[in-house]
Amino acid sequence: MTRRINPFYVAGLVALVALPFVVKAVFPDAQRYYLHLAIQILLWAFVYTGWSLMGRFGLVSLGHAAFTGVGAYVTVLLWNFAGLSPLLGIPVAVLLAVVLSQVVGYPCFHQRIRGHYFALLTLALTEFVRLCIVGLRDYTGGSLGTQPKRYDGGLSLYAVQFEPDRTLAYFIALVIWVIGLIIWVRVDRSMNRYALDAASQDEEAAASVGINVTVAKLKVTAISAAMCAFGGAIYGQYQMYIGPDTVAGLTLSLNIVFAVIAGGIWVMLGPTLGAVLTQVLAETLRVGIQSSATLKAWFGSSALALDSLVYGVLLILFIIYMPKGILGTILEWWNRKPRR
Amino acid sequence: MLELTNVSAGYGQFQALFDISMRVESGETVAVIGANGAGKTTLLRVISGLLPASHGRMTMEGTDLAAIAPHRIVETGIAHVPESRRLFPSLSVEENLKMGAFMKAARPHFHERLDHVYELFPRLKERRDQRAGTLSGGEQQMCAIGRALMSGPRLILLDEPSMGLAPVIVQQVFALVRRIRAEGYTVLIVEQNVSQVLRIADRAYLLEVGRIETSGTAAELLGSDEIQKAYMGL
Amino acid sequence: MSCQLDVFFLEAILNGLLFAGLLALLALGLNLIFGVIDVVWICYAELVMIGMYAVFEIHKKLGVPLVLTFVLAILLVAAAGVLLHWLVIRPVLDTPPINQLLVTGGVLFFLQAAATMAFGVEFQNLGVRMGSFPVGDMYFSMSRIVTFGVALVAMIALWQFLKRTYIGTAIRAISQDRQIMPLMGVDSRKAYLVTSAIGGGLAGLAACLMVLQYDIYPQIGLQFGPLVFMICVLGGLGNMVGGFVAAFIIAQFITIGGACFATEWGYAVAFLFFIIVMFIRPQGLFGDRT
Repeated sequence: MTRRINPFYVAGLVALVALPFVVKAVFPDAQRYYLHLAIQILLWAFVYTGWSLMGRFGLVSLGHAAFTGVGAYVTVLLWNFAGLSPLLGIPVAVLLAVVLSQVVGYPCFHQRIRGHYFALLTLALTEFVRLCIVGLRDYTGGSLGTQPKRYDGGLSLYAVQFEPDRTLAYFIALVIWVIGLIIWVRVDRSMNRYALDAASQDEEAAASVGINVTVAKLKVTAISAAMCAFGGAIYGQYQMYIGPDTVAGLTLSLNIVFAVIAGGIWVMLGPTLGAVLTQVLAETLRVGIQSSATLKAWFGSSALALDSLVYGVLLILFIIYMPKGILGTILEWWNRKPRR
Repeated sequence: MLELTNVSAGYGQFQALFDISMRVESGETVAVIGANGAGKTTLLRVISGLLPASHGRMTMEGTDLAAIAPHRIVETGIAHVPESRRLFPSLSVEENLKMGAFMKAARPHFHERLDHVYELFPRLKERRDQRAGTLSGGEQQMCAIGRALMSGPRLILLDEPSMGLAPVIVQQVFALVRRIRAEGYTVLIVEQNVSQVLRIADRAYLLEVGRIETSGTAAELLGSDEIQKAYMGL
Repeated sequence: MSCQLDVFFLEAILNGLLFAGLLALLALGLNLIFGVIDVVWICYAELVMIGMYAVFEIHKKLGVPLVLTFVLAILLVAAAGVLLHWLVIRPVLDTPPINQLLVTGGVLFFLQAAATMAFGVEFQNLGVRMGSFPVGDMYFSMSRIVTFGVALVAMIALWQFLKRTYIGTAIRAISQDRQIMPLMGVDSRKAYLVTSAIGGGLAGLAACLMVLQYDIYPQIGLQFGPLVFMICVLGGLGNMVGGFVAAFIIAQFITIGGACFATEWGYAVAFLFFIIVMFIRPQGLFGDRT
C-alpha cells in the first residue's frame, strides 16, 4: 500500500510529539494538568475510534461500555488477586472481551438482529456486565470501585503503571491513539469495509452476492471490542482507579455514542474530535463551576451534572440538525464546494 | 362530480403523471385501464391525497382537493380502497369496518351503515369477529370495500380490486362492484383486467406511461382493435 | 444456594407476582409508544423519575394532599410525553430509527442532569408507610399489593380504551398500517400526540406507585430503565400482551434470584436469560418477524 501520506497528518503528528515540551515551556506549573487532559483525550479518542468501527456501518451498539469494563476490571483483578502482571493481564482481558463480543455477536448477526433491537440487546449486555461487576463486590469493590495495587512507587513496566510520569503517560497514550487511527485506516481500506458498507445498505442483497455478512460483522466487532477493552485497561492503569460507572455502564455507552456522533461517525478523526469536545467540555464546566461562586451557591456539588446536561442538549441538537457530526458536516460542505 | 385538470405528479425526481384531465359524473362507473407502471395507482393516490400533485387542479363537487389536508379528503365524500386491500390484519373484520367510520361525520351513522354493509356482504357478518388477516382474498376485498362504504362516500376509488386473486374470485369481486353500482355509488375503478372492467364500466380512460391516450365509452373501447390487440391478447 | 423450597420461597414467588404488576405497567407504556409510533423512548425511566420527584415536591414541599398530587403528577408526565414527541421525536421521525433512539438518549442525559441540579443527589423518600399484610408466615408489603392492584386496573382500563373507542382503535391500527391512515380520516400526527400523552401518563402512574415503595434519586432511571427495555424486547417490542408475560417471567427471576443469592444476581440472571432468549428468538416471545 504505497499511498502518499498527507503532509497535514505528518505536521500534526510532529506537533503532537512536541506538545509536552511546548506545554512545559509555556505553562511550567500546570504541565501535569494539561498533560492529564491530553492523555484523557487521547485514550478516550482511542476507545471512541474503536466504537466507530462498528457504528459507521450501522451497527450502533449501546453496549461497548461492557468491553471497556471487561478490559479494565479483568486487568486489575488479575493483578490484585492473582498477581498477574498486566503485561499478561491486559492481553487476557482483551482476549476475553473479544470472545464475549463473538459469543454475543454470532447469534446476533446470524439472526440478523439490527437497528434498535441490536441497540437494546447491547444495552442489556452492558447492564449485565455492570451487574456482574457490582455483584462481585468482594473482588471489585462493588459500586465504589477499586484500584490496582500500587507497585514500586507507581512507576513500573512490570505492573504497567506510569501515572506519576505524565510525559511518559502522554507518549504512551499518543502511541496508542496513533495505532487506533492506523487500525481505522486499515479497516477503511479493507475489503471488509466494502462488504459492510454494502450490508449496511441492504443486507439481503449483500448476502446474495456472496458476501458473508455475519463473518464480516464479526471481524469488525472483534477489532472494535479489542480496542475498547485495551483502552479501558490502559485507562484504568493510568487513573489508578476503576469504577462500574467510570469504565462501564449505560451512561458510558451513551457518552461514547454522543462523542462519536458529535465528532463525525464516518470520518477518521471524527471520534477524536468528539473526545476533544467531551473532555474539554467536562473540564471547562468543572473549572467554571469551581470558580464561579454563584453557580456553586446554587447547585453545590451537583453542579457537576451540568456537563451531562449540556451533552444531553447537544446530542439532541446534533441528531436533529447535524447527524454527520461536526467534522462530517464540515467535510460534506467542503466537498460540495465547486472545484476551482 | 370529480374533475381533474392538467394534473401532474411524481415521486421525487421521477414523474409518474403528465397533464391528466378527466372527469367522473355522479352515478357513473368510470374505469382507468393501462399496463403495469402506467400510473394508475398513482392517479388514485393523488386524488385521495396520499400523494401530492405537483401541478393541476382537482375538484370534488366544486371543492378544491389540493386545499384539503390528506386526512380530511374522506370528508369530501371520496373513499379509497387501496391496492392489495390493506386491511388491518390483527384487527377484526368489524374493527376494520369501524375504522372506516372514524370520520366524525360518519360516527353517528355507524350502526346503520354497519347493518347495510352486512346486508350487502353477509359473509362479512359471519366473520365479523375474525382477524382480518386470516380472511381469504375475496373476503378481504369485500371487507376493504365495506370499510370504504362506512364513511358514507359518494365516490369510491377502487384500486385494482382483482389483483392477486384467483380467476374464480375475480368474478366474485366484479360481481361486488356491480352490486355497488346498483346501490347508486359512483365508482372510479383502476384495473389491469381490461375485458372484465370494461364490461361493468360506463366510460373508460386508457393511461399509458402517465398520459391519457384514449377515452370513450366502455363499448367504444371494448370494440377498439388497438385495445383488443394490446391489452386483451387478441 | 442459600434457599430451600419453603414458605420463604413461596413468599418470593408471590412477591414476584406483585412486582410483576409494576414492571408490566412500565412495559406497557413503552410498548404502546413503540407499537404505535415505532420509536423507543430510551429516557422512559427518566420520565418516571421526574414523576417521582414531582410527587415528592408537590406533596412534601407544597403540602398538596397525596391523591391530588398523584393526579397532578400523572398529568405532568403526560404533558412531558407530548412535549418529548413534539420537540424531540417529530423532527427525526423520518430518519433511521437509531436516530430516534439516540435523541431520546440525549433526553436521558438531560433529565438526569436537570434532576441532579434541581434536587441534589441525596436519596429522598416520601415517607408514606403502608405497613404489611400477613398471610400465615409470609409478609407482603401493602404498598406492593396496592401497586399491583392499581397497575392491573390501569392496564384493563387502557385495554378497554384501545378496544372500544375510535381513537383507541385507530391507535392500534396505526401500528399495523401507517400509510393508509389518512384514508380513514385519521390525522397521524394527532394520534401520535395522544399516544405520547398516554405513554407519559402511564409513566406518571408508575411513578406514583413507585414513590410509595422506593427512594427517589436522579440516577434511579438507570436501575430499572434497562430492565424495562429488556422486558419489552423479550415480550416482542410493541406487543402489549408479550410485555405482560415477559414482566412476569423476569419478575420471578429477580425475586427468586434475590431471595437465594444477592439482589444483583437475580437481575444478572434475568439479563442473561434475556440474552439467551434473544439468540433463539430475536423477535421476542410474542414478536413478529419483520
